Amino acid sequence: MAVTKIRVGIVEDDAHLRADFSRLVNQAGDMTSVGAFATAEEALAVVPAEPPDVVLMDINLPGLSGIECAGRLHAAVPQMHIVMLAAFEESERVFESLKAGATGYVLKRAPAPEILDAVRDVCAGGAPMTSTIARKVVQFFSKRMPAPEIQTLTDRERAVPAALSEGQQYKEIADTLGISINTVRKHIKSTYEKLHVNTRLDAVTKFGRL
Amino acid sequence: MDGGPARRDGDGTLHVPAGTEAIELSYTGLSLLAPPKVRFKYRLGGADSTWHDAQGRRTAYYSRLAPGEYTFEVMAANNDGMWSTSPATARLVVAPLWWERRAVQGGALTLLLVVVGYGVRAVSLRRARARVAALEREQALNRERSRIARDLHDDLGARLAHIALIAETGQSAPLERISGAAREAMQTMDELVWTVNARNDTVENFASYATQFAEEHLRAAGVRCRFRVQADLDGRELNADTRRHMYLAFKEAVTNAVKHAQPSAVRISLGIEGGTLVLEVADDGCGLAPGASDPTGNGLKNMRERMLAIGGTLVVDSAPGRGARVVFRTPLNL
Repeated sequence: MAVTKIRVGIVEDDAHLRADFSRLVNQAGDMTSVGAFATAEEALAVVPAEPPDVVLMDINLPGLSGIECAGRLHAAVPQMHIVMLAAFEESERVFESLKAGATGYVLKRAPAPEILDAVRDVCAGGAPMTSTIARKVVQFFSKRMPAPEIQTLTDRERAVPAALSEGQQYKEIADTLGISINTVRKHIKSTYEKLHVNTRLDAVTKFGRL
Repeated sequence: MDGGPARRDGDGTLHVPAGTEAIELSYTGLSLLAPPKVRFKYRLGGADSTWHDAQGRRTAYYSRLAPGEYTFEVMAANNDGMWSTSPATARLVVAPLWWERRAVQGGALTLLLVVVGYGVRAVSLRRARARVAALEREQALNRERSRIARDLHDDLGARLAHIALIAETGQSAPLERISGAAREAMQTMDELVWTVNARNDTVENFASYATQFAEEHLRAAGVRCRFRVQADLDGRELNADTRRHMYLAFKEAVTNAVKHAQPSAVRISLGIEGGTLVLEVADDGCGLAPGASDPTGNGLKNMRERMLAIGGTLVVDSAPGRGARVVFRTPLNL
């Protein structure tokens, strides 16, 4: 039975790395590289017309940043997944990307299998959330999120990031809450969606339009 | 004298009160023959240098005499033009206003000099201090540049050399070794960039970076981790030097716990108590007898030195079989 391959787009300004990531994706067997772009502007011009399943996005790009690009791509093609490639020291920027519309992130220096797993993971409905990002989410919910938006958060959508921020793993959280790991993932995903909605509302209040 | 008579004391001295505007001195000369023909001249010793010819006038006017002592002299000539042989004199004392007193003027001058002196001193002190501060800043910058150069050379350079040598010396499984060493170099690089970037000089950022490291390191080692990080760290600054030393000391504590204590879990808590950043690493591993030699070699010594360098402290609390608790404290206002 022919399995549909995951179609992957790549946005990376370094030519060597761009070629490396394309090769990595094409060698994986279950995915295929459908476009590699050197800048956010290039990606924004081409991707929305024929969107891939996942975009691997370098967080630092010349010109328009990866964060900005993620935000615009997400607004244009909401169902497309965006996985940010970031350095360890860029957790604040990763969180900004997640608010803008990214659904995943992976260390740029991570071993190749981890990068591929990050792509597979978001396609399977997963959502990664390390304790550091979870802590930022919890803080965002408690401080910067407008009150009406907070009302829409379910108890689980609050409990899961809180537990993650304490260092608990998905399995531990699932056991504590008496739910499956898959349900934990769903909660994280809906948490991210509320971050996106909230950020879009921010944009409306700031600029008067979407 | 300003509309009233002057006070005259026992020896005939005329006393003019302070602030008197106009003085009128009356005198007369006796001539039995022809009083209207008597001529006068007068002089106020202390104010006039020459004699005034008063003709037949019998009054002398002075205004605003400076404080001091004067001698008023009058000479008379009779109708034959014969001048008296010696003048008639009267002593006159003009009292000073309070600000005209010598002591007050001297005091005022002294005060002025003192004030000016202090002003000059303050300005030059401030300039000197600014110069010292600028020099210190420059020195700190130079130290930091040297440190970055050294770290680039020692850490990053050594790892890159290592990678090149693996490729050239025909070791077993060279590709795995190379990718491993390259990723280590990337982590070193990440830490260097994080240390140097001023954007990261906050407690919040330190907390993120430290917990990220701990989570990655502990997960990879199969050790459970727990974090308790104070929620409202926003806006608290942490200077670059303190941040770097704290991070490296913390990293040492976490890696030592994994390497030497065989723990099943490590708890990390971070918060601000008063003006002090408190970071705690507690493991449930094999523990350490009090006074036992450092199982980590130089680990404890390194951590102590780092804390000393930033004016902080290190407390290790452990007993065999009861795990170990390492507490780092450092003042935030340094």
